[in-house]
Amino acid sequence: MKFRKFLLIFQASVCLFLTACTSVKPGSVKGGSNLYETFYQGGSTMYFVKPLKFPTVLKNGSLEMDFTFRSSGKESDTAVMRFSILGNDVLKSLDSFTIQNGLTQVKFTVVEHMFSESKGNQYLNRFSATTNVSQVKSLFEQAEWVITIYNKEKKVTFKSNHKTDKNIIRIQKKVMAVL
Amino acid sequence: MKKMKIAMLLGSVALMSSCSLTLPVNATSNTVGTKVGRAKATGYLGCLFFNQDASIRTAAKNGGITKISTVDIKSRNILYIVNSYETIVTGE
Repeated sequence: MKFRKFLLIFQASVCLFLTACTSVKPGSVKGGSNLYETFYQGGSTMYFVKPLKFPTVLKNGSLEMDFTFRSSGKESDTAVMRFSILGNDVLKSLDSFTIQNGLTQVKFTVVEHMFSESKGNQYLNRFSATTNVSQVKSLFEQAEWVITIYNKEKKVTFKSNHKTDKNIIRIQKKVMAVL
Repeated sequence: MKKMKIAMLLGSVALMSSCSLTLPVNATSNTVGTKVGRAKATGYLGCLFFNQDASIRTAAKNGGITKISTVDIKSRNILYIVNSYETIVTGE
């Protein structure tokens, strides 16, 4: 009898904690996912896909890429990709970079350098590039991305790991599928 | 019986302790922009943060933002062992 009472109190507490555990968000922000944020902006929604990590194939280093875009259902909707390259070299410019996922390959030749700074024993180089939302959607249709950057006849390849692949699939289901 | 009580107690603590909370920090009169920047710091046991930077300045820099519109901070705590703070800045 005593145990049943205890069990009932426990179950009530769990329900209470679960209810109280949902995150509190300001009015303009929706979602709460660890992978993306959405911002309602009167008439359209702005999406921010948080950085996805791609380790290098050969040397120490990594590339982290995030996406910001508005979706109003038009073909002309643009998306901005910003990415940080962590490595042993300072990169002030990139000739181009490509993203391929087995289904599609997107090449970017206009890449804007944002800043470079030292981080520990390595250098963090941040760049941005613009594309359209439909291309971003096509990239998220399949995981296992390979990103290749080209700079002065040198090329460095970054590949998504298992965790990043899982995140790409989750973003496809939660964000891209509803655009 | 005793073991079950302990397990239930631990379960309650876990449920209470692994929540995230996003709070507004600031909003300006600038128009809602098209850029978003983010800076994140993860620490352990509430004190080991290893000089990470989750400042508004860094978030704005990462997003290429010069005019800030809104600032939100999302904090996450897992059993008081892992704490993370994420600053999300929007603007132009």
